Amino acid sequence: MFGLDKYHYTASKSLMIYSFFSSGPKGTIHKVARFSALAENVYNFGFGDYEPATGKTSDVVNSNNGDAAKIMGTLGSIIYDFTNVFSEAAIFVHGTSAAKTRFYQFSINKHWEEINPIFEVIGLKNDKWESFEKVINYQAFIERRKDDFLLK
Amino acid sequence: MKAKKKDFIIQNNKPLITVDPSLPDFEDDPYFEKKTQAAKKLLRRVGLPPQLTKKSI
Repeated sequence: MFGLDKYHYTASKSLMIYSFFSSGPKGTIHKVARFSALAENVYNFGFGDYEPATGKTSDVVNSNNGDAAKIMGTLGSIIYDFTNVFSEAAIFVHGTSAAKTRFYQFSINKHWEEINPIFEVIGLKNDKWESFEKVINYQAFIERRKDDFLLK
Repeated sequence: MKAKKKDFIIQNNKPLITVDPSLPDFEDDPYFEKKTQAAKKLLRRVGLPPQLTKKSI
């Protein structure tokens, strides 16, 4: 999607789980992303580091593997692929901290010219939903595909 | 979690998604559950965007 640098990823049979490996100075880190149903056609999108030793996922530690842009490109591609299959899906994105939410916003801002024609993005500010604008900092986002850009 | 045989998904002309049948669904993963519950709690408070009612809800 958008010609972004990204990692190869695989999906579970349900297409709700996506897995890829971050590679950088701190070695190889297994990343897992999951879509979880919140309401009809509304999904939460979360991701974190999979820890083989415990079999659990977390984002307690900031991986700092020098590949944040490539990870964001991968997550964007996962959302794009997911909404190709589940074309009515609205994807809820909410960072586990204000800093992470700001980083998501930074990534949307950076690629807004490519995202805007394809996705309708709605931002939450002061507990009110409004159409996304680059200059505003939001608490959370919901995005869904614009009909004209759904693959037929 | 080891990668095994991979299948491919294709629907009409839509792009391929590589499926790894060995990948679990993390149904009971506490981290993802916590995130999901936090999202539900926030949406219960603020509601869904009215824009979605036209298409999704």
